[in-house]
Amino acid sequence: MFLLKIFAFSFCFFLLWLLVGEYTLWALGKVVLVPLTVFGYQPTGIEVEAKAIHFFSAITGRNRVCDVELTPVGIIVFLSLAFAAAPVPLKRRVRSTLLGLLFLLSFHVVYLSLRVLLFSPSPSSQALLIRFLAPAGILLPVVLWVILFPTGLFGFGKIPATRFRHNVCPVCGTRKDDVVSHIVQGHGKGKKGLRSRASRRYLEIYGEGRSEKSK
Amino acid sequence: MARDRKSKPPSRRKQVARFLIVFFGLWAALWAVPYVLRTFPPGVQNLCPITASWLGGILSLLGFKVSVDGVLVSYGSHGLSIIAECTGYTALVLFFSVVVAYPSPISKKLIGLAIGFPLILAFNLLRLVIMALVLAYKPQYFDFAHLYFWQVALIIFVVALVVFWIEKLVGREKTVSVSS
Repeated sequence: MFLLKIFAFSFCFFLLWLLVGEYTLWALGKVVLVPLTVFGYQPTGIEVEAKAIHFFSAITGRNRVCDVELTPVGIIVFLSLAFAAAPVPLKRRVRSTLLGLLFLLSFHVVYLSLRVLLFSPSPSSQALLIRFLAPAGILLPVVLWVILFPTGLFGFGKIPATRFRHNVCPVCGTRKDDVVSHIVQGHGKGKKGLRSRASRRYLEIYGEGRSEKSK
Repeated sequence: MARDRKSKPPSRRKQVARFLIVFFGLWAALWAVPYVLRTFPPGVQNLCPITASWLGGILSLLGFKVSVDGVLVSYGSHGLSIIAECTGYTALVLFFSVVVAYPSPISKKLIGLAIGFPLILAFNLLRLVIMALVLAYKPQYFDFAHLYFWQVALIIFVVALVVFWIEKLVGREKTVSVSS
C-alpha cells in the first residue's frame, strides 16, 4: 500500500509541477535575490526558463544562469514521501511537511546564492562546496523524510503489538510473572535475549512492566 | 530490582541517529567524496563500458544499427556517452548505505543487497533505453526526461525498494505466537 501511495503521489506531484513549477521557481529566484543583494551582487531581476533561472546584475559581466533541476526533484520526492508516510496524526503530518519544505527551500536558496556568488565558468574549477551541495540536494528530501517521519522507515520493522501478551515471554512463549527478569535470566542480555527484536518490541509496548512496580 | 543501563534497548531517537551517522558515512565515502573530487573508484569506471555495451545490445534488439566504442553508444544519427553517474552507481550506493545502516540482521542485509542490486541495475538500464528512445524520436523532451523525470523516478525507486525490503524481509522476524 505504501509503495502504491509513493508512486501515486509522485506521479500527481510531478503533474502538478508541470503546471506550477515555473511559478515556484520564479518565487524561489525572488527569494534568492535577498542574499544576493546582501552580498553585493546588485541584482536587477530574474528570468525563469524551463530548467534554469537567469540572474541579472547591475555589475557588467556578472549575469549568471543557474540550472535548477534539483529543486523539483527535492520537492516532488519529499512531498510524495511525506504524504505516503505511515499513519501520522494530521496535525503532525502538516507540521512536519511544512518544516521539511522550509528546510528544502532554504537549502535551495543557499545553494543558488552560492552558485551565483562563487560562479566559475568551467565545471571542473567549481568550488568544492558547490560540487558537494549537488549530491547533497538529491539526498536531502530522503534524509528529511527519515528525520521528520521516523515511523515511515522505522515503523515497518515493528512486530504487531497484537502478537504480544503482558505475561508471556516474547522469546520462548512461556508464561511468567516477571517477563523481563525471565528474559534476562533465561535468554541473556544479548541479541537472542533482551536485545532481540521481539524483546525490544515487548519493552516498547509494556515497558518494564511488573518489575517496575515491584521495585 | 535494579536493572543496569546497558540492558535497555536503544531508543527510537538513538536508532535513527545511529542509522543517519552510518548512512552518511557510507554515502559520503562511496559517493559524495568521489563525486566532489571527480575520482570514482576503478570498479565504477569499468561499469561505464559495461553499461554502454548492455545499452547497445538492447538497442540493437530494438532494431537500431548500433556501434559501441568504449563508453560511447552510437545509434542512427544519435549518440550517448555513459559516464559514472549514468551507471546507476548513485542509486546503488544509496541503497547499499541504507541497507547496511538500517538496524537488521546481516543475513537480511545480504539478501536485500542480492535482490536490490540487480533490480537497480535493471531499472537503470530501462531508464537509459527509454532516454535513448526519447532522444531518437522526441529529442525536444530529452532534457526534461533526463533532468526531471528520471531523477525523481530513480530516487523513488530506491526508496520503494528499501521500504519493500524492510516491510517484507526485515519486518518478518519470527516471534512466538501467543494465544489469549
